[in-house]
Amino acid sequence: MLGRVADNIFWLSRYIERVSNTARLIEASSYLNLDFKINHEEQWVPLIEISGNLNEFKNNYDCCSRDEVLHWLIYNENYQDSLRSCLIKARDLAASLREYLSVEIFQEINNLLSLVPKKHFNQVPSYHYIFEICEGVKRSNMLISGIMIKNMERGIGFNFWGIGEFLERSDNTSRLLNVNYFYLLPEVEYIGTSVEDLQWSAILQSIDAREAYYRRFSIIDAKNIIKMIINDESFPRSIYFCLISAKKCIFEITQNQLSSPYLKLNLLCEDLKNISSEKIIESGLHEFIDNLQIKINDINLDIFQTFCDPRHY
Amino acid sequence: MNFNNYSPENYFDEYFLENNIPRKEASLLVKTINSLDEGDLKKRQEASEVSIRNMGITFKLNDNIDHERTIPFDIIPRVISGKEWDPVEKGLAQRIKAINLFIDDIYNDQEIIKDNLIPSEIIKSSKGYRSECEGLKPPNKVWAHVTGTDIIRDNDGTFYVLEDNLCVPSGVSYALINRQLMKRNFPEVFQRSNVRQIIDYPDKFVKTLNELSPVDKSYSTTAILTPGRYNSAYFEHAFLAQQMGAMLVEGQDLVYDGKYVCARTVKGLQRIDVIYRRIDDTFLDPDVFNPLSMLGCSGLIKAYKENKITIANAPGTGVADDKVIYSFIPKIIKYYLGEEPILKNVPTKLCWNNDDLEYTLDNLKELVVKPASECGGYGILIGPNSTSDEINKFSKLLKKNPRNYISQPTLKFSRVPVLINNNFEGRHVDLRPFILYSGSNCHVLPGGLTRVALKEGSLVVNSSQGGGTKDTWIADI
Repeated sequence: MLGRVADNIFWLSRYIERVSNTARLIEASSYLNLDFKINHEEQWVPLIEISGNLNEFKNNYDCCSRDEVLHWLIYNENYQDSLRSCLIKARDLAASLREYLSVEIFQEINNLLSLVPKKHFNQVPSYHYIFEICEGVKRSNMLISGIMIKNMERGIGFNFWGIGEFLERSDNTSRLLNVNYFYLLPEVEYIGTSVEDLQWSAILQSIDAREAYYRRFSIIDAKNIIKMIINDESFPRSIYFCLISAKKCIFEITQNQLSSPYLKLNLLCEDLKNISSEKIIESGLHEFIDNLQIKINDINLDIFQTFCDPRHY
Repeated sequence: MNFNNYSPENYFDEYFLENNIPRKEASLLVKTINSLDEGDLKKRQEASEVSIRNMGITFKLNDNIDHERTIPFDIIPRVISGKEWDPVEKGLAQRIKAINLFIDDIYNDQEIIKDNLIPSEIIKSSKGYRSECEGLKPPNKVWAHVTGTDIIRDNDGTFYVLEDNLCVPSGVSYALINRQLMKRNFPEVFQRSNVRQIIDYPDKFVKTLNELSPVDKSYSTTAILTPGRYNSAYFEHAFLAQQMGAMLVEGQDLVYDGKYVCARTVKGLQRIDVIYRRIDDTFLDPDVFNPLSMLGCSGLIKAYKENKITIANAPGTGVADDKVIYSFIPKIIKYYLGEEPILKNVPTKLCWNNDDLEYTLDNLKELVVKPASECGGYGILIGPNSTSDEINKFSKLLKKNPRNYISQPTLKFSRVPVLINNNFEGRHVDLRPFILYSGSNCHVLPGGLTRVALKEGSLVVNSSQGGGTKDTWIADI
């Protein structure tokens, strides 16, 4: 497979995963805010912070309420990670990957953009419609994954798709935890009030982990939640699970030879596996996650340089 | 909705001999369509349009980067009887064989020039002539591996060749997709009409290319060279790559390692044995042709000359796309094969000859004038449909550069019914069959891409100018 094509598959997969993460986040935050009383201050700023672009957002909007935040996250084409921007990029990549993608996947990606039409640019639609968008994006994402798993031969392309998906998801999960932790856990002792429980629950909801969490732990507990999000072995959105999965994909690509990104990921997984929630909280979750993201970014770059960079030939 | 009010008028209509009397090969279709519930056909037409859009089968006009559109697809298939088709198929095979011998000759021994059959200056002044290719000996002496010849039927139903598209013919993907849509929409009639299949075209294409590969065909690697995602025919490049199992490469993916042309893959450099190129000659290799080209690969022509890679179609093939050279094809067939041409050319006057120029200038109102080296239906004058300003303009152009123009009588292209709003109306069509040639084998796709001029009375079928397409059935009934 061409290096350029592999890189495009990687990015296409990331954008598809990114839009579905954004949709989950918007959905969970919207449901959460609906539970706040009318005069309670709705919480929209964390959404912007999770994507890491608060300054850019402030340069574009005067205030930070529902309409501005949703416009920014869904419609604004000047914001590189808005749903619309990502979907445009995904469609463009899909078009350049036509010879590789199955017709069904291409159709699905080609149609996704119609969920976020230009006509809503000036007026952010009602919640009802926002939920429809989020559900549509999520469903489409699952359909694409399903087609991939059922139809795609387990070759290099499939594994690049996997790396993109899992690295994107681990990045998203770590941001989510980082920002919400800031709001929820200035100090560990403060947990226990009902609003905070609601918010933790919303975090779990936004990574589709709420039911799985309750099956296992029954009650909201910050330490258990952090464990589930960071280093649970069986939950498919935990950071550990994502990194292990990405590692397997790299191993498949090199057909059992050990490449540099593989070795780096392996090391990172070993570190994550053995660390406890208490230890993460004690030494500072922010530092922990910042450090993790630096390492993931480095692995990202290494993957490109090892497999896709034309300067290597 | 039915054909009761449909009239062939004064044209050769491929469905009806006269009002309500269908031709034999179309009668089954006519009967079926007449018996459909009201609105059913329209529904099928709309469903097909949705499929086309969902599949992202778009066409992009070169002058408009943002605007992608679908080519209009008409649900009424065109039907040609197998008996009428067979001679066309033979004629095309004969023509391609002769054209290949001709191209090989003019870049090598030039016997045809020495025998005074065609003047050297005509060849040298053809826009597609590449002096860089003199002395080239492609495998099996095949230059044009794939050709998309345009043919039309005149008012008495005779087939004529309108032009040969040798350099980078396009459209075959639409023919294959249209067939898929028709099988979906008219499965029973399709089967009962005994339509010749076209689905093996990608296989046949792979076999043709493999036959000419410099390596053993069982491990030959084929790549399709595309200008990239923003090219108007990108869909087709990707479609063919997918159907043929070929690698779809851009110039930036290729590198010459001193001996072979290789693709930059995840696992390092991989040798390419055959390139089916969808870019013009002049962009193929900046060392030999346009030095500014970013679309090709430096070293490609060197590897080609050393027989380390096969290029389809060979660079320089476009020389025979020139419409002045087109007018010599009947003579070329006789010269190289000693046979009478099976398929006719449209009678053509060369403005390069003084007598022909004078005749053309005197009769501009009745004639069609075409530039010798343009394609896509651009720069054409259709005399009977033109204003006096346009005629004056052409008169000046012709006198200024007679070599660049030919003229032909305005033919009455055959018509086929088209679904327009809720009615059937006759529209003019042409046909582009695709011919694969490996020197030892020749395969003509049964049928081809039927292009239809959707505007009433129009003769311009090009998709770049609002033409549509139809599926083409070669029916043995």
